[in-house]
Formats: sequence, C-alpha cells, structure tokens
Amino acid sequence: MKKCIKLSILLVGIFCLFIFKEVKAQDFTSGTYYYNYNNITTGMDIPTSWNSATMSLGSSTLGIPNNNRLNSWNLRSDWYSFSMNFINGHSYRVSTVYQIQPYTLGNYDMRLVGANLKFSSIGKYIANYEGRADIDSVSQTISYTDLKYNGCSGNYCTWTNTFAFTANRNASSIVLTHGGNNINQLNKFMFNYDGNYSSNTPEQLKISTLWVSIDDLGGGTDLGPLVSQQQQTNSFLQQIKEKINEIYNFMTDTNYDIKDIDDIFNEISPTSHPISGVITAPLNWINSLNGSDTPGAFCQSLSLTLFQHSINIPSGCFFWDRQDVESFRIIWNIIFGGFLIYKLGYRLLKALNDVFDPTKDEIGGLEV
Amino acid sequence: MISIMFDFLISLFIRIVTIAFIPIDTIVSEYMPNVDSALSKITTFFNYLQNYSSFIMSYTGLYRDIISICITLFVATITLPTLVHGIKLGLKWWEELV
Repeated sequence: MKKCIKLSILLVGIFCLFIFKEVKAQDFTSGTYYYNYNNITTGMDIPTSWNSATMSLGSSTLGIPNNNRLNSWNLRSDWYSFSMNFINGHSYRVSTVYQIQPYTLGNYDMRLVGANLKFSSIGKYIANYEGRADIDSVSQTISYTDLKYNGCSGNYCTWTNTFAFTANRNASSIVLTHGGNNINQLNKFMFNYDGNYSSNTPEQLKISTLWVSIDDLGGGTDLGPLVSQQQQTNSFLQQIKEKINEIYNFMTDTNYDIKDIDDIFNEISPTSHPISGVITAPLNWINSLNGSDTPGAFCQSLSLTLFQHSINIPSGCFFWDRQDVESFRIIWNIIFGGFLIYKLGYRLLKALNDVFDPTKDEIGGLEV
Repeated sequence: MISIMFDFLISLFIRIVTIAFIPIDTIVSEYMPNVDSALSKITTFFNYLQNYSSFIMSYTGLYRDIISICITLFVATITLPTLVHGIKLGLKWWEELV
C-alpha cells in the first residue's frame, strides 16, 4: 500500500512537471499560428563598435509542419521572411517573440568592466524601431511596429516584435527587413551599451526559442484603433512594470539594515544574523538562482588556485548545450525533478502525519 | 511576472524572518558568541555554495527550477521536523496554560 502511494506521488510529480513545461512553452503563443524554433545558435561577430555589429543566423530554413498555414520561414543576418497566403484587403498582425539565452554575457560583463552593461537592466528600456515590409518584393510601409520587452527569468529574456499591415493584393510572401540602424538599435536595446570596446573575439548569442504568431484580422479592418489601443496598453504595462521594478529593487536590496526600517530597531540592530541566517541563507540561494542577478552564470567555468598553480575547469555547457542532447536533458530533468517532488511530497505528508501522531514527540531522538 | 512575484515573496519572507528573529539573534550574538560563530558558518557555507551552483548546474544539466526544488527539499528536510514539533510543543504549552 505504501509503495502504491509512493508510486502515485512520483507519477503525479512527473505529470506536474509535464504540465509545467507545457504551460511554460505556451506563455507567448497567443496568436493564431506559431512555430517554435529551439536553440538557434547565432554567431555574433563583435566588432570594435556596436555600430557595425551584425547577427549572422546562417541560411537555415525551417521545416514547417504541413498543418500550419505558415509555409516557410527564413531567418538571415539582417532580415527574415515567411510565406503564407495573404488575402487582398485583409489585415494581419504578426508577432515574433524572441527568447534569448545570452549565456556568455558574463564574459561581456568581465571584459566591459565599468561600462553600463547589466543584462538585468534591459527591462528598463523599451525600444521602438521602424520596419519595412516587402510583400512579394513590393515595399509596403508597416502601419504599426513595436519592439516590446517581456521580462527576464533566470538566464532567459524575451521580447516581442509586433507589426500590422493590410495586404493590398493577394500575395504569398512577406519579407521584413531589419536594416543597419535597426540592428544597432536592437543591440542597444538588448545590452544597454552604446560605447566602444577593444575586444574582437567572436561570441555566441543564443536564441533559444522563437515564436511566430500571425493573426488574420479580416477584411475592412481599420488598424488605427488597434495601433492606438496597443500603444495605450503598452504604456500602461510599462507603468506597471516600472512600479514592480521599484518594489522589486527595494525588496531585493540585500543590504538590509534594520535601522532603515524603523528607529525603534536602532538599539537592537545585530551585526550578525546567526539564527535567521540559517533560514534565510538557503532562501537567498534560491533567490540567486531565480533572479536575474546572475546573468549568463550558467556556463561559468571554475578557476582554482592549487599549490600556486591556477587551474581552470571548463563549464559543462559543451555537452548540455548541444542540440542533440536537448531531449535527453528534458527527460533527465523530468525524472530527477519527479523524484525530488516525490521526496518533497513524501516529507510534507510525513510531517502532516506527525502533527496528528501523539506518539511522535521527539526531534531526532531528543524528546521535547 | 511570475518570477518577479516569486522573488518578491521570497524576499518578503526573508525580511519577515530577519525582523522576527532580531531578539533571538541579538541574544545569541551578545551572550553566546561561540554559537553565533558556529551558526554563522552555515550562512557562510551557503554563500560559498552560491559561487559554485552555476558550475554544478552546467555539468548536471539541471534546470534552475529543478535546482530550486532540490534546495526547497533540503530546507524542508531540516525545518519541517522542527516546525512540526514546535507546533506540538506550542499546543502542549497552550493546554497547560488553559
């Protein structure tokens, strides 16, 4: 019977993880059609100035499922294109969500000491950049375009590029051009960095996932209200985000001095926190893992000094970041995570049972 | 947004715990310096571990969520028995008083 309960908890744990992963993957798929492009690794050439920075994505054309109206998708260094059947007079809203894992950003930070390069700070900036759509090779100005920051979680940050247009004829393909200034603006937006630097080392920037959603808004749609409404929403969201950031910055200030809270604690402000520290230290650890305070820290190598010799151990990303082990990594995480959830559930149930068990009045053999 | 709220809740809990434990922390640090030193080592140990968690994660291939669950399990393991028996002790005292 006990084994059945244990097995049930384990299965529920694994199931919860599956649900969790699924929900997480669908956070940004609000549009009609979408496509997930996992782990596009881009080569980012670092020149002597951001003004000439380029992102080269190669010439990979993705395999699009047959049941998707998006027929093809092409992502290049300075433009992307997709092909679908556009109907004359219909308006379309296209949203592209980029999820970036800048896992080498720690290196940027190290090389650019003193520069205003804090990945966590990109949340404070929302950049709009102009775009130009070529529909069947005929240039057409996009009615509305917006680049919106969504937020950072751990090593990942996402932003959405949205634009809308009305097709002026039956067409089959659209090309969105990211021109030089736009790329430059994108870099500024991402890195909040506008200066020069000396290194010329090629680095990697990883687009972990890319969502594309296309909404057919129908014929005779006036995009004016849409644009106005969306801009108002963006403005409102920005205000909320700034307020949350203010609260978040205040609450995550690790230099918590009790004196700042109230004068009553002036006399009893301890310099050390022996008891509370035992409880808060693991929580601080969790916070450091979940927060954006450790950007790009996942792939950190380890440097040790042993007998006056410096030893550098490379990070394990050379294995786990390979695309062909991504599935194995997910399964490994689900199994291990399921086991942990099972153990956690088991301990919680045991603790609950102990509360109601009158014979259990001891802590580790010590009777209370 | 959820991540920020999660961080916010943890930070709030940390502050509440810190404030709630001020009297005990003060007593321990003032009158039991050896205990203070010993317990501070635990905090130092966790701070030390923070430096290597990313390196370990890079080799284990575990997601941050899984690591968080792992740490939560560790915290639950060391705190739940104390919490349970604290509740029972409190109830026992309450019964004696009433």
